[in-house]
Amino acid sequence: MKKGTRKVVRITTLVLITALIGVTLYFNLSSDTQIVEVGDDYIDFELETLDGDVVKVSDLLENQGVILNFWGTWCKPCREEMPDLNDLYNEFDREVEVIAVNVRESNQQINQFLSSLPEEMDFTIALDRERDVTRAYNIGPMPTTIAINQDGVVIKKQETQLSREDIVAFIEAAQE
Amino acid sequence: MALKEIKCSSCGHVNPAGTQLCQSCGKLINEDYDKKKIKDVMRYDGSAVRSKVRSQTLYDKIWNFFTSIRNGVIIIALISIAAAIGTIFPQEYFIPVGADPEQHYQEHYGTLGYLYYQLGLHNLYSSWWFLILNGLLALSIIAASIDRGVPLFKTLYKQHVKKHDSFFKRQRLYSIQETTIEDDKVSSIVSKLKKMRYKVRTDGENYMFEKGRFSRWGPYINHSGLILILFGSMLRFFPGLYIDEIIYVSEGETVAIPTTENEFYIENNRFIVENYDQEEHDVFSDALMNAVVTQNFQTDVSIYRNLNQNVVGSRPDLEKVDDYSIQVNHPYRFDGYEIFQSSFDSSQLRSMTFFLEDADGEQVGDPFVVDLRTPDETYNITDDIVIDMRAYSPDFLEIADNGTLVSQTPVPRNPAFVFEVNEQGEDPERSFIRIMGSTPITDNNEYNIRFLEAEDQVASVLTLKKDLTMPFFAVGFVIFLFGLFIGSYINHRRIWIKNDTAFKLAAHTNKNYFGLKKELNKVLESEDIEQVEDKFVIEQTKKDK
Amino acid sequence: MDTQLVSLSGTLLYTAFVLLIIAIIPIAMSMKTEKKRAWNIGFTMVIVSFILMLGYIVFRWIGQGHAPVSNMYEFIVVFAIMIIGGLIITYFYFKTRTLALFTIPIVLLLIAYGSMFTREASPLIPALQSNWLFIHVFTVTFAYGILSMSAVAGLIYLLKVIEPKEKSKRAFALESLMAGIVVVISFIIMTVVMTGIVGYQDDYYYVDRQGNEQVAEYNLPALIVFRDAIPVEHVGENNYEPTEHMMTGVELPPVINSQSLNTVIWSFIVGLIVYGIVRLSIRQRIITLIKPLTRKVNLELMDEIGYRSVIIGFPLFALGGIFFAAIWAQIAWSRFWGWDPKETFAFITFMFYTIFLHLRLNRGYEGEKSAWLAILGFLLILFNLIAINLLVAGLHSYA
Repeated sequence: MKKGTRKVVRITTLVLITALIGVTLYFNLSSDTQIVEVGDDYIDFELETLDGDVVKVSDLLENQGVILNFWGTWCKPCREEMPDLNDLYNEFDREVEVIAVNVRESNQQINQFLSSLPEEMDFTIALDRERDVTRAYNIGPMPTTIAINQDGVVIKKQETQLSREDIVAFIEAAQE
Repeated sequence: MALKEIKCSSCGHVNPAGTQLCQSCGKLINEDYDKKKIKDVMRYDGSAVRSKVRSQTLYDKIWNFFTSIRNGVIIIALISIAAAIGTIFPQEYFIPVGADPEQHYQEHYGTLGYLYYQLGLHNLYSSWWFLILNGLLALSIIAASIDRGVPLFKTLYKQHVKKHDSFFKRQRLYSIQETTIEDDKVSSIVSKLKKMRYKVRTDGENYMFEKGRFSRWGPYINHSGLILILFGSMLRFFPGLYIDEIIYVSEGETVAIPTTENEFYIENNRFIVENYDQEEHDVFSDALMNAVVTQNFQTDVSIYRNLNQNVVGSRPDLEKVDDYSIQVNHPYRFDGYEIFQSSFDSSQLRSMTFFLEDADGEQVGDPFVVDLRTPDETYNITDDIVIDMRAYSPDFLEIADNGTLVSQTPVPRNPAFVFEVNEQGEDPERSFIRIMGSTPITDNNEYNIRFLEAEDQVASVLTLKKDLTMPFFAVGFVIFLFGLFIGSYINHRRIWIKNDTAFKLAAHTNKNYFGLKKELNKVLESEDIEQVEDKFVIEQTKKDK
Repeated sequence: MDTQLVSLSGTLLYTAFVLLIIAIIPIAMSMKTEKKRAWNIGFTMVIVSFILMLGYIVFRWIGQGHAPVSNMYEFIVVFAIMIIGGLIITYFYFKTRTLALFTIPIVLLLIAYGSMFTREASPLIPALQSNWLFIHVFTVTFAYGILSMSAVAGLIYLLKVIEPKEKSKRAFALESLMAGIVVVISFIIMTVVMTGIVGYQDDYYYVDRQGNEQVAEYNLPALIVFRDAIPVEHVGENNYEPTEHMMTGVELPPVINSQSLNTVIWSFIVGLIVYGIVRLSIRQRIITLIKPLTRKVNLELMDEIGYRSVIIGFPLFALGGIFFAAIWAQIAWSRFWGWDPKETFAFITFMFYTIFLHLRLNRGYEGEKSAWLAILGFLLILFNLIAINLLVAGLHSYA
């Protein structure tokens, strides 16, 4: 092989392989992150509610920010944070809409839980029976709470129980 | 090391720098090579393999690192050790579905498990450093193959028949006589070797016999196959090329097929489990007495297309596309996907049937069935008696402080109820019912709710696969095997004969001198010529003594 | 009819086994002399034994309706049969007698070990119901049979080349290998005695990895148990009552099969004690006793056999152990490669022999170095076969 060709072959091979390894590493590391993170756009959805209506997020976003709270009656932190969520939702004059997305349960279970609470919950309870929305948002642990501003951007996300301060922060975030 | 080309003093041929044996006549023209590394100068036919003859730029230094077999072996060893570490504890995809990895490793394997998780070892085979190791392996394979393959190719295709006298003694198998041998003996040897499938080339009194040259390309072919495989494994990380999801669908349910963006849905019409019948299979009776062995399990499914793929969560409008029975070893294929029968889950209950019993132990009215997924709240037993379900917990854990039933999961695995028996004109009676026990809540209950039977909810666990990288693995491995077999099972053998002033014979093979010696000596013996000895064996025996 | 065929196959195997034991005598005698008669008798017995073993395979196959490769017992027996096959092929090509003398005891040990496992004919679970079962297993065991020859040749090479009285690392390593063999023999004898003759059995109730309730039968006092195991005794049908057993109380997570590991630990303890006794009685290393058997061996020939077995066996292993296995895994489990422990160790074995060949062909690792590597490769194969199957419970395990 001529000296020149040899040099070209070597450099090309080294550069090419390094580039391929780099690209693969990039894909490998980036696929570990969730689908919907802070800064991403929200994913629109439409679900039936406990009242028998239908709620669609994009409709709500025309007028106000939205907080999504993914919960289940078997999840203890979810049960505990819900009354606080309702309080603050009302205290802030419902400037931010709250949608409590229930994952997978029957009406009987939800009603059973709600009737055990001291007050009635005023926000919308959406029924994600097939887990379509839960999967679209790649929800892992519960409760997961997501704040979406009017531009449709995810401002805040938390995967643990909400304290009263947390809820206030979420409401403020959704108003950004 | 010399950068200059070397002119052979014997035949005048100009050789590339660093060549040890003249490409034309085989004379040793360069003693200045690393004798520790190059034990057999005929290994690459004496061509200049060692890149040490080149100038040492950074690229050359990096390149040389990867052409080294020693380094390649070290990389292989590192990969093997890494792979072994991944078997100490089960990898993340082997732990139970839905379990939290952080908890699981700590709970089951203690501190070591905790460390295992923290170091990311539970996802070893897709970790960045394992990836890099394999990338280095690819580089090593490519560099080493180019470095050796190209000169080898050039040398083998430019072979000259006539070899310098010193060439013969240098070979491992050789026979040198004092005089020439008769022409007809030579022709006899030629025809015998031809019958052994050797191709012969002549140049006056010089002869060269060769067979199996293509087996030299075996390693380079198998290396190409390996590169293809490594390339395929790299593609796995590229989005969209590889999908591996679980579909969990209970009997009677219809669910969306993941990653199809709600375009396709699957319905589990029926799930069947069949166990081996002891009577039918007499020969297995001993084994079947001790254990139940599953013969077959399958899911009869229907596949639907959703005509209403708008917003997430909206009701699908389903149109049936196909029906199929998915069994183990018999997946369903559609749209580039495959759906495999993986396992099943019969840990859930579908319904429980109870009946009301009065104080005398007599059944009152008909039994009532409670659907555990969407239960009714009222059950009419007789004209006067109604049973209300006051509370229900699908997977009962404990009773909360405020008296409500707390559930562990939303899945009916361990149902518990609070039933209230309302008889016209009487006080309501409450009792707390769970599997294996009923506890009265109100005092002096006249009635008892008794359990009759339960129906299992069987869910089929299917695996959804799309693997566009598979062709790379399949083709790559076939190429690898082809190269491996021709490189291992076939030997490249060459025999040179020179019969000008005296009879000289030498033979070379890339592997299996034992076999070549046997083959050659058979011919020599039949012609009454002195047989060849393996030079290395002679040296070794001397060393032993 | 089917049951009779299976019994017949068992008888054939038993006869083959006994025949092999007897064959050792004429073969050993033939070591001392150049004359052919003792050798011919001995080796003919080996060939007859092999034919009987093939008969075992055929009749058991017909009787069961599927190839006899679906549980530990069957697999180990087929492995042992393939080693005999490898031995016969190697003899006809290289004409060396010493190989047989060393191979036969190893094969006998293997069959004896395999017989510890349940021997009942058992039907196939869905994942195994495929022609690929026997295609994969027969090819890989055949490859193993040939690769094993390299280990035997390597062992003979080392025995000849190493002086028993040497104070070197290599002499120590070789003697440790002998000690290991003593441990294996102790294991087999101990299991036969405790399970078959004494009938020792302690039951322990525990919960396995899947959350299912299980009862582990220990045939030796429990040095280790499953986590939260409760000693129980069988009081009839499916009932067990808590009781007391001799145990240390050391608990291990259910991912490790504590019952098998317990047996392994006992084997080491007893084996090392037996080894110690032997050493003290003969006052020298065990290799001193065995070395004379290799007196007439040609070292280069052993080296050649060691190398040829690998160059022939390795491609077959790649074909059967990796390629066919991957095809079958894709069909049965929808993934052709899942890095489960068995597949991973097949991969490691593959890489190991790759290293073997590269070191030999490109770095001049011949003779003694090659012999050690060959033995290491065989141990890796055994580890994959035994340890992974028993100690790590998983998708691939049979026992």
